[in-house]
Order: sequence, then structure tokens, then C-alpha cells
Amino acid sequence: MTEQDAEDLFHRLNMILRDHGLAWLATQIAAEAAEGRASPKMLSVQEHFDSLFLDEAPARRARRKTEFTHVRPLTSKEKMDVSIKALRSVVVSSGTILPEILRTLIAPHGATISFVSETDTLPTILSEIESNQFASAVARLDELLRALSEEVRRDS
Amino acid sequence: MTLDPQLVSSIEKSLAASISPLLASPSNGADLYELYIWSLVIDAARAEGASVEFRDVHGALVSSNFVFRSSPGRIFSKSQPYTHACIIFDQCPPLEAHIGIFVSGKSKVIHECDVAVIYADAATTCRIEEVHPKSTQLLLSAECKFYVQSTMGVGLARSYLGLVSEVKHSHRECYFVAVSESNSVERLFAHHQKDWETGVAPNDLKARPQRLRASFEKAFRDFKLRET
Repeated sequence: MTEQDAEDLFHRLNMILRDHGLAWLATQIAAEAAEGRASPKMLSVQEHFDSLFLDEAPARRARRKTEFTHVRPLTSKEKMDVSIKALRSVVVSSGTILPEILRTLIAPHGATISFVSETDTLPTILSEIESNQFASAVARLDELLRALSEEVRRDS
Repeated sequence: MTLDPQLVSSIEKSLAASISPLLASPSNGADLYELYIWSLVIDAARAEGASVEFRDVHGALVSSNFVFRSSPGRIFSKSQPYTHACIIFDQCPPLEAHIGIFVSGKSKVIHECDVAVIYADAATTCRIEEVHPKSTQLLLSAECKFYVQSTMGVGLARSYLGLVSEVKHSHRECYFVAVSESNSVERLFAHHQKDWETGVAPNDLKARPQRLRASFEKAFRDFKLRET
């Protein structure tokens, strides 16, 4: 995968998320990718003296090594890594969570889980069947994301 | 080497099929994540020998249509038949596990508790008198974060440190739980010696849900030892 391929795919995946009502996730992924990667950088800096507290100014100002934090922008392949990681931790995990919850609830066949606020009138309802469908879909997505991750790393 | 177009097309299709309405809801999946952490609390209680049943705000048993809050609310609200878990350990005061309820802190300011385990008698009083539980009545609480962005995580972690100072009492456990890893958040909590776990999701390869559940089990174990 070339850097340009990775860049194109990064934007394409974010577009799909926005088209499916996950603008919040696309925004978080874009912000995370824009943050860059921090690494320590040693620099030689000149020491500063306050002349008020010195009898005479030193002939030469001393320099000493100091650690700074350098932030470099991510490469397009690194941005794809951010995207894949986020899709796995949010989209894939959301599909695997529901069956776990239904198991804990010892929910019978046909059970439903509803989410509604005190002020809402329309709840979001998920049935056991839908939960199983999402679990299958994310299992497939997880496989594909692993394959994509391999492809991104292989050509790095 | 260029990208396999078949793989891209498959990912697009699979991604579209994987997006549940909960992820696209106004809570951005946070309510689902809170429910998951709540379910780990229930599993931990069972592992420590508790019997668990699910009831709504009216006291009726719930066995198939479970209703949960999609935004923080009042424990006494009867606007919806919200489900909570009743946790009963032999010879111990009964407990209740709730999701997304308001709790009154040390300063009497109201805070949201994503997951809260409280004494059942206190919960009953709160429902009858229509008041929020006090932080002293919390046995265990968890702040749950369903985010990917690490910078936002540090902000949330800082606000969590403030929350802990408001609701944490001796012999009470407060946890910060997140679906994503964040080095800065982890360092912050390790430095301040807080209970936390990141990367908690059923598909986690490092078995961190099990580690979190074990922490909850210890909290219940200590509760039993104190109360019997």
C-alpha cells in the first residue's frame, strides 16, 4: 500500500462513518490522527543568568543538554493504523458487547434491550436477533481490519 | 504494491452492516458501554456467590424487556420502567446496581455515576422520598468512557480526579474504565494511585475485562467480610 493509497483510504473510511451517522467517531479519528506522534528530543540550550545575583557576568554562557518534546505529523500509513485501531475499539467492540450483556441478563429468546432518557419518547430498541446479526457483522469486519492492518504493515 | 480493491470494497460493506443504531444514537454508544461495565459488575457479584435478579423502578421483576437510561437520570424517576439489578449476598445487606444515576457528593453537588452499586435500603428510601443517593451510600462506582481520542481522554481523566475527591469514601471503590488505551491517562492515574482499566472490551486480546471483573470481585469479597 502506498502512502497515497493509505491517505485515500483513511478519508474514505471516515466518509463512510459520516454517511452512517458516526460523524462523532470520524471527528475523533481525524483529531487523533492530526495530533501527531510525540517523541523526546535532546537540545543544547544556553543557560540564562540573572545578572543581579552575580558579581560579574561569566565570560562564556554555559550550554547544557535539555529534553524537549518533539511532535511530528503522522504518515498516512500511521493515520490508517489510528483508524483501524479506533474502528476495532469502537465499532467491533460495540457488536461484541451486546451478546455478552444478554448472557449476563440471562435473557430469553426474543428479549429486547431499550435505551431511553427520562425526557425521550422514542427509545432505541435492540432485539436479541439484531444483536446476533451485529455480532456476526463485526466478526467479519474484525477479520477484514486485521487483513488491512497486515497490508499496511507489510509495505511499510 | 497498490491496495486490493476487493478488500476495500468488503470493508466498506462490512462496516456499514456493523453500525448498530446505538452507535448512531445521541449518546454515541456510551450507554451501551456503561451497560457492558454494569454487566461485568453483575458477573463479579455472581462469581462471589450473590444471587441476582432484575427489577424495575416499581419493584416488578424484569426478565425479557430490559430498559436502561440513555442519559443520566434520577433513581426515583418513574418516567420509564428502568431496570436495575438486585444483588443479594447471604447474611449481608442487599445491594442494587444502577446505570447512569445522579449521586450527591461530599459538597452536596450532584454528580453522574455511570455505574453505581448502592445499599438497597438507601435506594428504596431515595425512590420513596424522591431524593438522590448520597456518595456515602455507594459501595462501588465506575466512570465509563467510550472514546478514542487521547487528548480528550486527559481532560476526562482530570475531571475524574475531581469526581473521585467528591464521591470516594473509605471502603468504597471508584474505577475509571475506558474502551481505548491512552498512555497519558494511564500515567496520570498510576501517579495518583487511582483504580483504572483501559482497553476494556469483549474483543480485547489482553484479557483486561477479566482483570476488571476480578477487581469488582475483590470489592464484593471485602464487602462480605466487613458485613458478616
